[in-house]
Amino acid sequence: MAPFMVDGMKLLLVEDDPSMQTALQRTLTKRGMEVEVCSDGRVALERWKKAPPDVVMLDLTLPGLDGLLVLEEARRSGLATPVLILTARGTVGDRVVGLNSGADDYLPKPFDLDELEARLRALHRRRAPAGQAAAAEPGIGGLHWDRESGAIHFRDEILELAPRETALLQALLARPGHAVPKERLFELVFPGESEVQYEAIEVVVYRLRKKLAHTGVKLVTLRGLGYLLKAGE
Amino acid sequence: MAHRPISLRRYLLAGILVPVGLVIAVNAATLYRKTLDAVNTAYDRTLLASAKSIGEQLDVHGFDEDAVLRATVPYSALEAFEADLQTRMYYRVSNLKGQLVSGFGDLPFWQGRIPAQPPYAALVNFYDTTFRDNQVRVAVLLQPVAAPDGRAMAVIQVAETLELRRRLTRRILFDFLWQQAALVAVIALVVLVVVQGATRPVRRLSGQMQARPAGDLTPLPAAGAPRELLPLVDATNGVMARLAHMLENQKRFVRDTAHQLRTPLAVLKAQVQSALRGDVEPRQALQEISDTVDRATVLANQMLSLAKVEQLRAQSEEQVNDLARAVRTVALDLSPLIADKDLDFEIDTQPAPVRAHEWMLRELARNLLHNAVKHTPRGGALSVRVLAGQEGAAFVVSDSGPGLPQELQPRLFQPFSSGDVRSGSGLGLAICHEIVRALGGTIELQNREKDRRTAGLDATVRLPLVENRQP
Repeated sequence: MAPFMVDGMKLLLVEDDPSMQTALQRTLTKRGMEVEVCSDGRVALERWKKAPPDVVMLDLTLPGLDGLLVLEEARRSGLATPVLILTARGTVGDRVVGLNSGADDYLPKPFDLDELEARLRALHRRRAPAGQAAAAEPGIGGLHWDRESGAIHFRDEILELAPRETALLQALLARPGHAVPKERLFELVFPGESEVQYEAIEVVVYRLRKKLAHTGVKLVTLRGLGYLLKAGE
Repeated sequence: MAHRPISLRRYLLAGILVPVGLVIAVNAATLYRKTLDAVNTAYDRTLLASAKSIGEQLDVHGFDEDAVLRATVPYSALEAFEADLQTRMYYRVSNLKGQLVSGFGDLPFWQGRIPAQPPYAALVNFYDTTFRDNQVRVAVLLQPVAAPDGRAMAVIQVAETLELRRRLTRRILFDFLWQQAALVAVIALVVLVVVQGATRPVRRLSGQMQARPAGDLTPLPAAGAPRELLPLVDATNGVMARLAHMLENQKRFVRDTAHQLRTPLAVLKAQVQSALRGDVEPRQALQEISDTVDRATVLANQMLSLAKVEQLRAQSEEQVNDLARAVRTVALDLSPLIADKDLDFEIDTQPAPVRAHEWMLRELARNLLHNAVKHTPRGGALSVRVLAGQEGAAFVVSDSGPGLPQELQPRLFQPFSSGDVRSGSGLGLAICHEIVRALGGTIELQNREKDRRTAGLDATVRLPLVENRQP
């Protein structure tokens, strides 16, 4: 049991494969969530209306009522619960159809359990009232961005950064571990200035890299593409 | 609303018979009118002859103003000209002033133009009028009469009723109509027979096709087909050959796929049984099992990708997408992997519009780039270029991995027969190959040599560029 996880998140799992039901229920319960399982679309819709959960996990191929129809019916009835679609149908077209029908996220099977949990929590956070503590704020390797104050911390220390360096680091922290294209960074660091060359970014990167040197977080350059933050070993 | 198809036979029949019918009708009308004119001319000449014969029996005394004409025309003179009992003839002889000299006084004097200075040659005219409730044709003859003691101009009018002409006309008309009808009937019969014969090969061909059992894709026999139908027969045979080929491909694919999925499943079974028996530490066994499951998942996704390439190829998408943008998107997606291995990465692109579905370009880029990242050692160099030039678009991925072993080169792009089986990329290159083929391009993998050693692998894809700036 992970002690710093949020407890008591109520989930409704609509899935007809018994093995999948057992596996998911077992592992999600162990991680501190309440899971109710349902294998029929129509029944699921009724239970959903009667006792709305925090997040609904919906498989699309169901007996009774097709998953997409369940979703559309729920949205029509005014149910605003966040929905994560789990399905073997994984093409881009299916994804678009699912999202257009009212789903909030889409995870094709087979999926990684950690990813499932992360997405469930993200969906829950989105709809959570401000009072509930968010488990994760944007951060990587000890770096942590306090959105309210705008300051960036490394562990307990507040980093002293120039405005442009802050803008750059915030942009990189928004997608930790993933490259941000240089065009996007340019817009964020030099907003409204069209005459400055891309090389100006390099200067900011150079200075920022020096200030991050002691944190172990590396600012990686992918020439021609963009930059990213990588946690140290 | 169903659109009724054009009938070749009806088109041929109508197309031949209607113009022929029209031509015959026009021809008949013209001929008929000419015949009528000839009939009239002939009858008019006879009428004139009777007028002239009357003119020869005139006598005159005195000159010009004082001239007195006298006629002794026995009625029998006209009898010779009465062709049958139904025709009646009338005559009137007058002087220039219109005074009756002889004949039927109630035949009105000719109202035509009388020359002021009477010519001394005869003047002839013909006209139609009504006399005693009959329609008559009248010949007018201005005849100079000369005698030793006199000279004058006589106006001789001879009228005949029209029954004879009319009867002849009617007979001619009916004869014409019967003849033309017979002509049209014969032509129609001939055309019908010929059209029927000409369309028989078409009917036979369609009969052959309908009689085929479902799923029979053997070529149609070209023997006996008329030359105009040969292109159709050839094209149909071509379509069926392609269909048969496609079906064969699909069957083979399904078969191979089923076989291929068995391998990771077999491995799984072995690993699971081994674990159950306690041959290995549970944690290690489960890790191995997890890896195998990942491998099978990759395989399943790759097979779906291949099927999707086939499906998109059949749709022949007309979209134009930028290859450079697709490559960059994929590079961004893979950036965590690239950073994770601390690769020395560089990308350089030019806009390269190609006619291809966005998914195809991304899948191609993803497979090549992912392979390159996997094979490049930690800290190695990896470069990606997209160029647009005279020969089209080029997409080059250069890694610093071990390159390709010689023995794999020939069968490189065949599914399931090559590649790094352990890492489950057996289908990756096959997918690239299918995509490139569907887009009409080429793909080449070559080892890069430096100092007599393999420094890495260059994967080069060439695709046709969409020219949008040519006037």
